[in-house]
Amino acid sequence: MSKTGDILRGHTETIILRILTEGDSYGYEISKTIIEKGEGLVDVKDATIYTAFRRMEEEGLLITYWGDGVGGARRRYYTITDKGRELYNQKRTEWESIKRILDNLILGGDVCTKGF
Amino acid sequence: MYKRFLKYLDKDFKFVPNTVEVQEFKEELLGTLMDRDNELRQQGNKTDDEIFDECIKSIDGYKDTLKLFKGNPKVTEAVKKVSYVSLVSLCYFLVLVAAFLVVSFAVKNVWRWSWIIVVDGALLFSLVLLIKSADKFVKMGKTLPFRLCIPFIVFITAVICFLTISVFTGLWGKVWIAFLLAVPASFLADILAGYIIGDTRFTKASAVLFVTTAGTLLYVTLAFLKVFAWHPFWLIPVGSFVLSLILITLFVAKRKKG
Repeated sequence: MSKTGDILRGHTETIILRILTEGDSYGYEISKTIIEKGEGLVDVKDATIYTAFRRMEEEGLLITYWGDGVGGARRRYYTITDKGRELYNQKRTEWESIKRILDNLILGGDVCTKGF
Repeated sequence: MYKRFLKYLDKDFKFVPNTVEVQEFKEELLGTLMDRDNELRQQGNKTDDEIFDECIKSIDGYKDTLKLFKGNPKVTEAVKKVSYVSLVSLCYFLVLVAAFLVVSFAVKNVWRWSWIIVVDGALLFSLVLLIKSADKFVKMGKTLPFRLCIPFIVFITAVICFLTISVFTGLWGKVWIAFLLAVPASFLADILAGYIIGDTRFTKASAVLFVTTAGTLLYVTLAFLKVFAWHPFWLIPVGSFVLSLILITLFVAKRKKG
């Protein structure tokens, strides 16, 4: 991963959850979405995505089902659960706080007096 | 290309435990490879070998995910459980056979009936397994499989009673009635079980069938045992049939009211 990719590494699950809030998806499509929206600076390996899927499924953040793929293969689709949505909303709120604080610290402006 | 990817994955997964989880993951990888293959073909300008290499390279590192599956505790636990049950079963049957042989040799003239030790023992074992399974179904909330176990439990009990009583009394020609009585008994057991576990589906049907079969089989049993004559006590099954019709009418009326 590039330096930008390193910064995003800890947010793989949140990114996947965000993509799934827009609709069910499958591994390859999620991987492509991340690369496209990452403006080519993020190159998430499929293996990273699959490991994240396994973890998230065990935690009940998403469920899966099989659908038709291309060339006779099947695709495993992922659906976000209510628990997953809750976690995503929580992570999104946390991210917005962090982003605001970092903007203040790095770009200047009013220092936020509230803690993390 | 599908077959080529499949061959590659089969080779790589050769020494990975063949669990459901692993097979599903393999299938997911295959789907991803085909998706990537499809996209690269649409882009054009690449040979089959170049596409194959690029696709395989894209899933590089998937073996890290496989580490999550190796020594799958679910599979290990299932294997342990099956091994334990098999061992217990084997020991139990060896004990039965040993008991049969000891009794047969130690006591005079018992070869005619000592075989009942092994047969009844085997049936009791099946009964215990079935009761344990039924209990497990209830704990898992699977009420329908639990209720399906009930007729089998009743029937095996009937077989044990039939064999044991027949062997010790010699009344083979009469004790077969146990099987007739098992039929209404299983319906009654189903009704009781349904109310106990709170699943009253089909209990009305069981009630109707119980009334019909109980009346008929009670009549056949008592007449066969010459407790009373066939006539006019054939009115008993007729009465039970009429009673079951009344029950059906009442249930339908209650349902329409509700």
